[in-house]
Parts: sequence; C-alpha cells; structure tokens
Amino acid sequence: MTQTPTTSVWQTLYQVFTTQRTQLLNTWKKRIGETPVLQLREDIDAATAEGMLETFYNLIADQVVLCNDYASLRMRILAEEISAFTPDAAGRLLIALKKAVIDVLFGTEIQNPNTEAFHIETVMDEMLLRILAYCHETRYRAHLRNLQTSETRFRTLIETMNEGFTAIDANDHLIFFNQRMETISGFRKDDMIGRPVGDLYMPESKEILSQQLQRRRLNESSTYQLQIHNKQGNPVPVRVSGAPLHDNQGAYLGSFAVITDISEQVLAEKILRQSKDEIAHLLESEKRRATHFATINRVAQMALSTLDPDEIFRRVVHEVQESFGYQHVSLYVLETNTEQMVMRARAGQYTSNFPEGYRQPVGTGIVGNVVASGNPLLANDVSTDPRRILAFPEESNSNAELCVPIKTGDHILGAIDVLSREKGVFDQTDVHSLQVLADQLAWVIHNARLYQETRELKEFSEQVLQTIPLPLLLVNKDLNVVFANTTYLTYHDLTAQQVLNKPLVQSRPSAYLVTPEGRSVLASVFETGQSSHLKSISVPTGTYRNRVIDLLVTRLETAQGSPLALVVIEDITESVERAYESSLLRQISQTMQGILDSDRLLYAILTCVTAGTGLGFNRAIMLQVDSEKNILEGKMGVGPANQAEASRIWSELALQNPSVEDILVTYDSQKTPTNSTLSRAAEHIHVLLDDPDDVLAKAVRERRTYTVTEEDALSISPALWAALGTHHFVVTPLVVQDRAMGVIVADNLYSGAPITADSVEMLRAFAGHAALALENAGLYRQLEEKIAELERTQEELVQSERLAVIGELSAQIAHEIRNPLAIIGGFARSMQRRPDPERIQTAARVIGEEVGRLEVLLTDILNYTRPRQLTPQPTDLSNLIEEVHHLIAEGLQGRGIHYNQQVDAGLPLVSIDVDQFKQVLINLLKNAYQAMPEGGELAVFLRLRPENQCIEIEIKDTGEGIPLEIQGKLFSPYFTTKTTGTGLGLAISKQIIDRHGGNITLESQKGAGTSVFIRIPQTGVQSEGAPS
Amino acid sequence: MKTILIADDDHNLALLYEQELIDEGYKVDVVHDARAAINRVQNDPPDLLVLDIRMPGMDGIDALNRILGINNRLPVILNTAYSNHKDNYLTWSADAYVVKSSDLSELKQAIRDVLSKRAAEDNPNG
Repeated sequence: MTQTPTTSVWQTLYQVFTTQRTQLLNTWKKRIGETPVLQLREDIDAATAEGMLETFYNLIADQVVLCNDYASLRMRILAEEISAFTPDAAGRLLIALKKAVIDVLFGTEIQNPNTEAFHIETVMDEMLLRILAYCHETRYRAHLRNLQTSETRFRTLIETMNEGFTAIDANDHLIFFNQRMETISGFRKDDMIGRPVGDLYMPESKEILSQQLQRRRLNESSTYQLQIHNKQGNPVPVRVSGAPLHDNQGAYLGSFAVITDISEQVLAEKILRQSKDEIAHLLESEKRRATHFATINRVAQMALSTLDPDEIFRRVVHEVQESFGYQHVSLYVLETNTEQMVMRARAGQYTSNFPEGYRQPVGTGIVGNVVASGNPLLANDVSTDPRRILAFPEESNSNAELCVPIKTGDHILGAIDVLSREKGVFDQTDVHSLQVLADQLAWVIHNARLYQETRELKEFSEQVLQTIPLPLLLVNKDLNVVFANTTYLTYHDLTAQQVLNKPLVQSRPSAYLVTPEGRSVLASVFETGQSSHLKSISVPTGTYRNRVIDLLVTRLETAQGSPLALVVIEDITESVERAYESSLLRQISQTMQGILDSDRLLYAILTCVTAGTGLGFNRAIMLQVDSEKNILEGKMGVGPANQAEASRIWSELALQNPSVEDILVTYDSQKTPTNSTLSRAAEHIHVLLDDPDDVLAKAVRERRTYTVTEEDALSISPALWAALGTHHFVVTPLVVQDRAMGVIVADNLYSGAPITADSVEMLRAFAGHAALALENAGLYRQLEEKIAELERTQEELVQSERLAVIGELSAQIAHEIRNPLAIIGGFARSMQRRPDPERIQTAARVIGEEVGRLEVLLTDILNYTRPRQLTPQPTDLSNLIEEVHHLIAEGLQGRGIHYNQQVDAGLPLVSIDVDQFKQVLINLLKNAYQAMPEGGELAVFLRLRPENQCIEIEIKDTGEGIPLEIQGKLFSPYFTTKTTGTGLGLAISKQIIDRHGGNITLESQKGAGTSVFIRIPQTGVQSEGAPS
Repeated sequence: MKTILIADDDHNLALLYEQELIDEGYKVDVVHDARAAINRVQNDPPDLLVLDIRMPGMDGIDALNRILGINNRLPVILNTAYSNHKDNYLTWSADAYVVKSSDLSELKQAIRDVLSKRAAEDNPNG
C-alpha cells in the first residue's frame, strides 16, 4: 500500500506528539493537575512555564526536521527563525502551524487527512494558552503582592512615624492626620479630617499659614514655624516642612507636611538664653568691682612712700618736752569717724599715768575745746579754768596748760598739749612756737592718716585682688610685672617667683600684651591715661584650646611718679563657647533639617564636635546602630591623622567658630571629604550590640556616657583601638526617645588635654541634639525613599496592570480563541466524515475566515502587551492626515459620509512615530465613520494650541454618540461596544499617544456625535525651511 | 423528529452545529441572540435549546433564567467557550453544561442524554 508523503509526515508527527504529549501532560498534571490551582499559581514561576514552552517547541522543531516535505520545511524555517521562544514567537508559530495544517489538508494531494492531526493541533493550542495564562498570571500576582506589601509598609511608616504628618486637599482641608499629630495637637484624626487646616493653628499663625499655602500652590516646598492651637487651647510651637502635591498635568492637588513639635527645643533655647544672660550679667558686675579695686589700689600706691608717722610723733613730743622743759607734752590726733581724740605720743612726768591710746571726746576738756574751736588756748592758772577736766588725779599738780591745734587750713587734725607745774609760765612766744611746730606736724598727720587709710585699704584691696576670680596683672612701662594675683597665676599655671619683677616677655612670651598690638595698646594707655577695653581677643595657650579674653587696661598713678598699667583679664572662652555651642545647636536643629544626605549630616555633626572652640575635641567618630544586624557600625571619623596635621590645623584655625554653613561649604568643596584616614579606620569598627564587655555596646544599651581610661582597656574592641590609638576617650550615645541610634566617640589624643567633666557634659548635650537632627534627617530620607519606592511601585503597577490584562485575557481570550478553534476543528471533522464538494467548499471558507480572526486577535494582543519602540521623527501632521484620508477613502465610499478637513496655518513639526501615529488616526477615523451607519459629517481639525504648547487634532463625527456611563471605560482594554473586534483599538491608541507624551480625550453627546481630541506637545521645530 | 434550537451569535459556529445536528437526524433552527431565543421559546418551543453564554445584548445566563420562567420543562444545554461559568450557580439550572470544542461528540451525547431523560420523565411507563 502506497501512502502519500504527506500522510506519512502527519503520522510521524502524530506518533511523536502522542508520546511527547503523554510525557508533557504527565509532567503537567503532576505540577498542575494534582495541586490546588491557587497554590500552583503561586508556586510556579514564570521561568519554569516559559522553559516548558521552549522545550515543547524544540520538540516540534526537532521532529519536523526529520520530515521532508513542504509543510515541515516551512515549519522548520519558522522554528529556526525564532531564536527565543517568547509568547510572541509562540503565537506566530501557532498561526504558522495552523496554516500549514490547512495547506496540507486542502492541497490537491490530500485524500484522506488524518484526523489525529487535529488532535495534535488542539492539544498544542490548549497547552499554549494555559502556559501563557499561567506565565502572565504568576507575574501579575507577584507584582500585586509586592505592591500591597510596599503600600502597607509606606502607610505604616506614615502612621507611626515620630513626626506629625498631615495632608490637605486643594481647598486646604485636612485629608490626612497621623497618630503623632493626634499626640501633638490633642485632637482626634476623625475630628480633624475634612476641617480647614487653619483650625489647627493659633490665630496669630494664620497669616504665615496662608502665605505658605500660597507658596504650595506655586509648587514650592519650605520649612517654617507655626503654633498649633491644641485641644486645651494652648499654643504648641511646631516646625512645619510642607511640600506640594501635583498631578501629572501639574494641577495643584494639595500638599502634605511633616510637623515637628519643637516646644522642648524652644524651652531649651529659652533656658540657654537666660543662663547666658545671667553669666553675662555676673561678669559685668565683676568687672565693675575690679575697676573699683583698681582705683583703691591706685590710692594705696600713692601712699606707699609715706614714712611711719608714729615715729615722728614720738620724736616731736620728746624734743618739745626736753627742749622746752615742760612738765608733760602729749599729742592728740583726731579720729574723724568717732569724733574722739586719740593720744598718739606723750613725754614727761605723767607718761606712766596716761594709758595707751587714751581717748577724749572732741569738746571735752582743754584739748577738746582747742580741737573743737581750732584756736590755741593758754591757761596760766588752769586750776580756775572751767573747761579743765582732770583725766587722772595727778594732773592736779599741773597749774598752767597750753594747747594748740594741729591743722591744715581749716581742717583740724589734732592738738599738742603742754602742761607746767608753775602758774604763769607760758607767754605768747610759747604759743607761737608751739603753733609752728603744730603746723609742721599737721602735714605729718595728714600723711599719716592717709598712710593709715591706704595701708588698711591696701591690705583689704590686695586681699580682694588676690582672691578675686578675675586674673589681674600690674605692669610697668617696661612690661615688667609688678603684681599678679593668685587667679592670674593659677590661670596661667605659674608661680609668683616666675612672674614677679620679671619682664612679661620672659615669663609669658605668648601673652597678648607682648604682641605688637598689645604693646601699642599699652603705650596708648600710658600716654593718654584713657582706659582701653579690648574685646574677644584670641590667645594661644600652648595647649590645644585657644582662649578668648576681654582685656581692660587702665593707667595707675603711683607715688613714685612712674605710672603702672593694671590689666584686668576676663576669660570669656566659656561664654563664647556656650554662645557658639548654642548657636551651633540651634543651627544643627534648624539647618540640618534640610540635610538629607546622611554623609553630609554626619560630617557636620562630627566637625561641630571638633571644630574651633566648639566642643573642642581633637577627633570624633560616629557609629550607628544597625538593628537588623544587631551591631554598631563605624560610619565616619573627623579629625587630623597625626600630630603634624593636628598642629597645622590648629594654627590655621586659631579662632574659627565655623557655622554649620561654613562646615558644609568645606564639606562640599572637598572631593572626598569623608575619605580621611580616621574615617577609613572608623568604617572597620563593628561591635555586637550584645557584647557584654564592649564599652560602645554598653553606652548604647544603657544609654549612658562613658569616659574611658586605661583601666577600661579590656572593654575596647581591637578595631576601635586601631582607629584611635588611645585609651582615653569619651563615648556618648545618640539618644532619641529612649532609643540609642548610635554613639559619638571623641578624644584629645593630639592635644593631650584632659577630658573634663564639663566637656563630657557638653558632648552629651550636643549628642542629644545631633541625634534629633540625625533622626529627623533619617525620617526625611526614609520618607523620600518611600515616595521613590511608591513611584517605582506605581510604575510596576502600570506594568502589572498590563499583565493583569493578560490575566483577564485568559478568560476572555478563551472565548475569542475557542470559538474559532471549535469552528475550524468542527468543520474539518465534518468534511472528514462527509467529504462532498459542497461541504468542503463551505468548510474551507469558514476555516479561512476563522484563522483570519485568530490572526487579528493575536496581533492586537501583541501590540498591546509588547508595544513597539517609538522611532520619532519631525513630522508635518497635515501631510499625515492627508495620507490617512487617502487610506480610508475607500471605506468612506457609499456610506453617505461627507469628509471635511481644516488645518491651521504655520503649524510646527512635531516629533512622532509616523507608523504608529498613522495606526491611531486610521483607527479613530474608522470608529468615527462606523458610528455613522446612516451617514453624516466626518471632520478632522488640526490646531495649534500655543497656550498649552501643543498641537491638537480633533476627529469629529455626527454619529450616534456614546452614553455617558461608558465613556470612562472606552480606553480600557477589551472594552468594546461592537460584537466583533477585540476592544483593544482605543486602548492601543491611548497607549501610543501616552508614549508620545500627549493625551487623548473624548467628548460625546448621545445623538449629536463624538469628538476625539489628541494633544501632542510641540517639539519646537518650525515647519518653515525644515526638511519634511 | 426532535427540534433543536441553537442560540449562538457566532454564525460560523451555528452553521457547524446546524450541519452536524442535521446529520444526527434532528430538525435544527438557529437564532443569533438571546432575545430571539426567548421569542422562539415563547411562540414555538423547540424540544431542546443549545444556548451560548457570551452574546451581545443579553447574555445566555440571563436568557436561561427567563426561558425557564416561561417554560421550565424545556431542556437547555449551556454551550460556552469558558468553563468557569460553571462556578456561577445560575448556570446550574441548565440540564447540561458543555464546553465548546471542535469535537462535537460531547455535545451530541449531551443532547441524546437530556432528550432521553426527558422522554423517560414524560413517559415513566415507556
């Protein structure tokens, strides 16, 4: 029996396929059939499914090569052409196969087609479809899952973040209000949603708020401060960072804001300001006291040269008593504050009777009267004088008494009193000579009194000067130190021997007064006598830290005539540092909010720890907690690499208190600012957070600051030791809301300065603020990341929507494909059973139609799911429309349709993919005339829309119009009002226009007609002179 | 001779069914939408209805329930391209549910089964 080659081909194919089919179906059943469908779809990944598809086609291709006839050759060529068995290729192969089948079936040599061929075909189709459907559905589900997870995460973040978060719509009504906002404001979310955002703030904040809301509408973001009006009616200061929300077309949708409660910060700043004021006040009063003491000292200095007057008094009274031969001579000095006369010297018979320091009130007795009146008194018979008093009984032996006042001008200082046993011995000569002597004594007493006063004052002032907390220094014109108080010596760590009576140049070579400026100031003070107040002078100290001082230089007159300079030194380093620190902290908590680059922020923080006279540490390292890995990781270090670099930096930065901006400018100007030796070493530090001994881990766990010394050597990790090379450092945690997010390690290796409790405390306080800034920056960054992630997810969503369409397709496509398949197969069988010519004729026609239907379907699907690359080129749209009109002209004929075309003059060229655009226009024009079965007007308008910088194409028909309720679905894939067609035409058109950056919209009125508008952005190429 | 009404909007498929069922010895009538099917059932009921589900205008499930409202003794076979409609309980009132295929033997068998079952019910002694 002779078989035709064709039959043998199909038999071969059939045998191969039945074997392979059984194998494949078994595998398939194993993987698919016996597993619950849902679980299966989760499990099988797309790659597996595609792999199976590829195997399947390889099998076909291999077997077909064996066959040597027309159909198989065609298939082989096809198979070889398709390098990758993508669904696209698979689809083409399917069609080719079917064509081959039909060719073979209805070729002239066919007499007895093998019905099994159709089984093969059916099986192939079914498997293909199932594989395709699984591929797409698996991908779609994976995307959907990712999307849901990421959206949940994003929502959780916003809901639970430590900052307030609000969003408002375009009418400034609240549409979002997170948990933290409830805490800050006291209001419940449900009460606030829908209310005007202004209700949230104090009345005085409303002007700022409305300005800010205006800025949002101008698409500006900004950060500003407001006061929330909380539920209790109290103001809560907040910092608000607002950003606008716009849709794709740039229309304002509203804005969102991150709101930070800064009431604690405001309070802290207030306290800081207050304490700064107090310190300033204290220093001011101390300065006044110092000036006062200086003046006292000046008086003391003038009295230094005076001799001891008591010695003079003693000599005077003895000489008078001996030379005049008087019975007794005594000298009284008036003590002004007690109005008493004190006997300072005496000579004669009553010496033993007068007690030491005998006092007599002014006005009492002879002497008292003389002192009171200022006139001499002579009583030659004193026993009869009523003014006489007997200070002691023996005095009654004296019978004559002469007393003269000691006075300078009208100023009475005391008196000299002379007694005689005999009456009438004194005459006017005695009175006169005694008065001369008294006048001479007057200056002595005057001086003595001054001496006394100044001695007391000097003792007092020296004591005060010595103990006053301000360093004081007295120098002469040659810069020799005359006096230096204890505070001065302690301040400079000097002894009195090292300084006193030595040139300042020698003992204090780095002192400001030794510098040319200092000398010129001194010279000017000595010359003019005008005090000079020098503010904020930076002086090197020989140790790492410079000091900042105010100097008061005053000229002091001395008795010796050569003036001295009193130098009052006020060390304002602390207050300058505090002011710097406070400004730095403020800046950090304000400026740093804007720093989203974490490296920049870390650099700024660490530089604050080490810069200028700030916290003044030599080096600082930042480590951050990675809670997922449960470790502390070194992030960055700032500081000199060695002693030489340290010295160079210090000399450059003698006094630079850089602002955060300065620091950031430095950061930005460096190529690799974070690539320092210390940074590289710091990045090697990894500490397990539960390491029981490590001091860094302890600082994090206990949220405590540790000052580390040699004794703690065992608690320092080798990596930290390698980075620092010292056991002396301080580690302080960065704590935000009871959570340590990292630590700052700081040391003074190069200066060797001790780590004082003060500097530790400052670092600790600083770390708190730095942590907040870091936390905020982190949150902003997270927010940004989440927004970016959301954008990505949205993109994925768009992609998965496309895949979802394929998923849905598996339901719809079943209908669209199964019908033609059933028809093709059915007619084939029918012919097989009764191959009469009439029946074959009908069957062949129908099968041809159905295959055509399948091809159109497949082309549409592939166009939608795998859009072709755009190849845009500058195009004259009016030419294109003309061309499209020609293409559809045949379709318009005999339909009673009047075509009209209006093109604006001077239209610019637009950059479009001509082929794809042509497809869109044909599609839309066909829709338009198909909507007018009874005929009508079809018009195309081409317009320039300069206000939108776009070109508009309107395609207008006078057809039946589109009901309002389905207008929204028109551009969705698989939506159709026709009973034939895939419903992909408008969806593909929209896709193409979207990809050109344009948009497509539709206006329709039931019964009046429909207009479709396409808007394409201008490319700026003018049509005049441009090549077309 | 039993009359079978085919309701399917796909003309070619209806043509195929018509040819095949005539070969099987039935009298075959064809309508192309659900409303025509309902009209036909109302005015001139066939012995059996083969009803497609996806049709423009009214779908087959909707039509099935209206038809059963008019004549609940009429045997109906749902014939569709998509097996998932089986999940819709509204389809359960049909006498059979046959997925479209180029092999019409399942449909033909279903027609025979439904008709003989109905004959047995109508004539319990036969």
